[in-house]
Amino acid sequence: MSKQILTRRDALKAAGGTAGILGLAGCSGGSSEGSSDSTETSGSTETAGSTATTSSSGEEVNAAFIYQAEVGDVGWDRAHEDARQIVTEEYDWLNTEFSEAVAPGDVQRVIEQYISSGMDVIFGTTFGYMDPMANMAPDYPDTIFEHCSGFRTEENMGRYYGRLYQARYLCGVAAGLLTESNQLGYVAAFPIPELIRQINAFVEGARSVNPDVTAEIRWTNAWVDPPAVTQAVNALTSNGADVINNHQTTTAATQTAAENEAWAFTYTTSMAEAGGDYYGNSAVFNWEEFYGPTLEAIHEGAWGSDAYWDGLDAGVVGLGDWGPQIPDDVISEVETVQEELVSGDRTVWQDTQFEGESDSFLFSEMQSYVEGINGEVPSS
Amino acid sequence: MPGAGFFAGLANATVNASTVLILAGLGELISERAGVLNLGVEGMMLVGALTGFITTVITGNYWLGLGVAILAGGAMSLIHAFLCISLNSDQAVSGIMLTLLGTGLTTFFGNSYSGNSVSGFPERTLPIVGDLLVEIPILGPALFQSTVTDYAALLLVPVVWLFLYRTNIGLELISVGEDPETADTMGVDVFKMRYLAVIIGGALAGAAGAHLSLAFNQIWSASMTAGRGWIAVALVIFARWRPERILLGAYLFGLFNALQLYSQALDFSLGAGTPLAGVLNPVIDFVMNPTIMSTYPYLATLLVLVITVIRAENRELAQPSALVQSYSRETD
Amino acid sequence: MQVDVDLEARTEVPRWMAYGTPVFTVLAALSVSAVALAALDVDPIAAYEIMFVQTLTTEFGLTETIAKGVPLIFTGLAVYLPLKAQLWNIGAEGQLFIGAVAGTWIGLNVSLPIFALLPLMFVGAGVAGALWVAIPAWLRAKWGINEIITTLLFTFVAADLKNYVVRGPMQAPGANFPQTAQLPAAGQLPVIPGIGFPSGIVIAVVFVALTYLLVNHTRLGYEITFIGANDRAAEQAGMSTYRIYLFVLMVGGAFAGFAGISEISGVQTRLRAFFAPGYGFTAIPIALLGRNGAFRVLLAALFFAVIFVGGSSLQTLLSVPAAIVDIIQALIILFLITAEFFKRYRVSLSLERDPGAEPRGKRPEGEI
Repeated sequence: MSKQILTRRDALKAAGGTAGILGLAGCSGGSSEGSSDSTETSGSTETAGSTATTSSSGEEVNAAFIYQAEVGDVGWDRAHEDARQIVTEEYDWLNTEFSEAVAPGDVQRVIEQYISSGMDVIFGTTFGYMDPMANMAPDYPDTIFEHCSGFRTEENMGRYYGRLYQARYLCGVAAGLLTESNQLGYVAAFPIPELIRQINAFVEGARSVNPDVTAEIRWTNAWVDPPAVTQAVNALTSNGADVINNHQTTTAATQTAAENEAWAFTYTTSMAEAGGDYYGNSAVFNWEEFYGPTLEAIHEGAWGSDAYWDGLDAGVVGLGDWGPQIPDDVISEVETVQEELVSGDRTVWQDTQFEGESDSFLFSEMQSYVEGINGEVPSS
Repeated sequence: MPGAGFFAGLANATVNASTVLILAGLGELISERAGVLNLGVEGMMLVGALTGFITTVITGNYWLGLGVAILAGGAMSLIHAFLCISLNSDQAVSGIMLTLLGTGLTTFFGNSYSGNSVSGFPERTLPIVGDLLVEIPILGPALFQSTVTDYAALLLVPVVWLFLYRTNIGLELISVGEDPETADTMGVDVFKMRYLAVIIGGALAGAAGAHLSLAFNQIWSASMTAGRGWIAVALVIFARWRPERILLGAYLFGLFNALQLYSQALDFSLGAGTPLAGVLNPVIDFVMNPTIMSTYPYLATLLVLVITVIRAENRELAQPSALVQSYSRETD
Repeated sequence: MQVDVDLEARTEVPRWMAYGTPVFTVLAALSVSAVALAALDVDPIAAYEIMFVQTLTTEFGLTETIAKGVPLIFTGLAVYLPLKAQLWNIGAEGQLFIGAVAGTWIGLNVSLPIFALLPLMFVGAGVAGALWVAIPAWLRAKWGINEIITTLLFTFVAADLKNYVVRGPMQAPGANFPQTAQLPAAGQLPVIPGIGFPSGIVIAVVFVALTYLLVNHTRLGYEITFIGANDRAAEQAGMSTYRIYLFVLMVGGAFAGFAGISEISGVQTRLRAFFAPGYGFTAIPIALLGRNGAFRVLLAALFFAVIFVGGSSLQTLLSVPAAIVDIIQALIILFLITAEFFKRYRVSLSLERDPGAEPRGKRPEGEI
């Protein structure tokens, strides 16, 4: 439980790091809806349009990145911050700034300040920023807004997200090949569609190569609570799970899984050090694959508001480096599956109750487990 | 129906969750017995967790890490002691400030350590009898396959009890919390005694933090205490300021905590045929909801407070009479 | 580390000290923070120019300060009023949560025009906040159970309840993230036409004035202050501490409830599960700074608003890490309570005995 209510910072920590997981695309609201095609591998929607709103070609671009939590060594904000540093390095016409630990109630002020100090683009990286950004966008037509993980867009506000569940599926393939007990464990934060989607994809990946696999989920009801995560992993491994996956912004699950001699998978950034010899891999975001082309489009005056939801094909999500003890045949099998996903020969949801569902369903309405997962999704 | 493995796991999780509460709770208890409420437990724990962790990362020696954590917790509490004992500041305000400061400092300085992990205190069985004890069904592995800090916490319960009730210095400490004027008249150095109590409290909070970062989790993560410092504050009240009840309370709170995870493997709802199933099932759902379950330590504490005060013959809470009172010598 | 000196409570705080202390305190805290800033290669003068001068001299800075100040004024009053009777309402944050939940629920479920809906939301939030503190208040008034502990315990329960309802019964349908639906336009506090300030400030100032009148110009206020100064003497004089304790804590709870709904209605427009602004805790130093009068609470709340707003400017304009702003805030509180000491006591070597010099915060025997 996020009981940290004492300080503003505590609260941000609890909510942050992971805030993007609250994302969805969507169904309700939003003036320009994204694509609703159902083959997830075909990925995104409109590519960068043609209506330029600012920044005629060749000028310098000033971009501000706003994060909900302090940027630590791992986690959601770290992934965005790494990408910011990569693109800042990459383009000599690009200047960037960032603010961390900005609560949704404070983001409007921070954006106004950035705009008055000459920023051309604002990247808001947590779901809670959606309303303030969408409300501000019409008042600042010369500024470009890009919001991660939400469903609202405006003339000068785009939205973006990555299909991390595809990378989770690949981790699942590896897990299905690695497990000897045929039991997987998964430590998760809150039972919301974003997490359920990733859990389902992981289990589907495992069952695609090993139909005997079953999985057990433990909800910790906190984004950051390392002691609770450790308890949850202990519970899962003592029940026989020999592969653990993680959805909390801490290395605790990876660390404890390794101690209990279970393979450890995780997400957003690499946590290889915590996993040691038992480290599997991480489903990571490579946000530079979005920030780079987007900033280039802005630089060239070719940016248009769109809804970006790409996956493995665009490289915006993927796997990190493999752990030291993962056998080569497992890695090559995962690579084959990755190629199939990218080419469209295979989809994550084929042969499940979700086959053929729309993107908006996948984002905001997935509330049940696929076959092979014990129990039911908790009611709240 | 859950089997022995389930209960063994539950027992283990309960014991695991309780160590940090025992350490921090005993520390807070000592401080309060001397009349000083310290609401900075969460902040001191975080400082202990981080300093112990960094020390261990740099030196590779977790004993040194634990030592530094204890010193750092004690140093943090010294601020509280100075403000509340020497300057007669409001204890509540100073404690809250300490938590703010501890959270801010550890978030800032711990930022670049959040991906590191250390090899900390290993789980061990006790020498000689350990191999036998660990064979005890259900409770054996929970109690006797543990880290040094787990054992130390258990050992500290009788030690603190003996210290408080069977040593002169302990009795003086209690007297300072009950009636500082009289204690002063009897020649007890009220200031020294309160400083001592607050610093022991901080040191134990630091140790509790180090238990998390060096023994239980062996990682650093900002705000990793996740509110356990506050539960320790509640625990002292739940225990009505008695060290032996700290142990009991820590296990009860630890059980609440463990149940949040372990109840997920169980289905408590009544079958369709059961009478009143339609009425009772939503109630069971609500009561067993993990978010609602995390309020139980606080509700249990309130319940103990209310029952004790309303039902006890003498309406005595057993709270140190001079708690949150500052003391200044007016006669000399 | 023992400071063993004789202290004498000041019967009267010198005028220069009453006004000089807060100023001195803040300056001292800022000097220490300056060292930290300099260590981060940030010019402290430039930093403080941004933090204070720019915040207070630009329209943007002023508007934002006032927006941030509204909930802080309310929570400041929520701690201030009980403090007048020597009670610490440490749990204003929990009362704020409950007020936010109740007020948001009304805003989402009651259909009324704005001039009726907004007052109803505030009343609902106030009643909810008052009821939330009723049990700790009763335990204190009837049984003498320390309100510091009970109000704090209730805060953690409130936080979990809020998380529960926002993820369960009050979650917006069709949304996959824990938040309520957006308040209708009639449930959102407008800005003052012409000046662009949030209208919550008007409500806040009205309640500051009402609190001032209550404390300084009514019989009830006299009793509150009397009980705060000496509860035993007050009982002997026929005053009911029971009634006063219930009153100050529950009115304080109502103020905290106002803080919750003013923030949701005026700034956030919907309640999120992770809503935890910490205003209820910032209120504690605010009440300490402003303990001598409701209008000083207002000033203290605005001062902390400047620290928040100016602090985040430091981040956007000078790339100062966010945690530094927190540390500056903690330092200000630290110096503040240190300075309180010098204001209250004259450190002297005199051996005289002053029977009237009872340290503040002392309670009669047997009371807890």
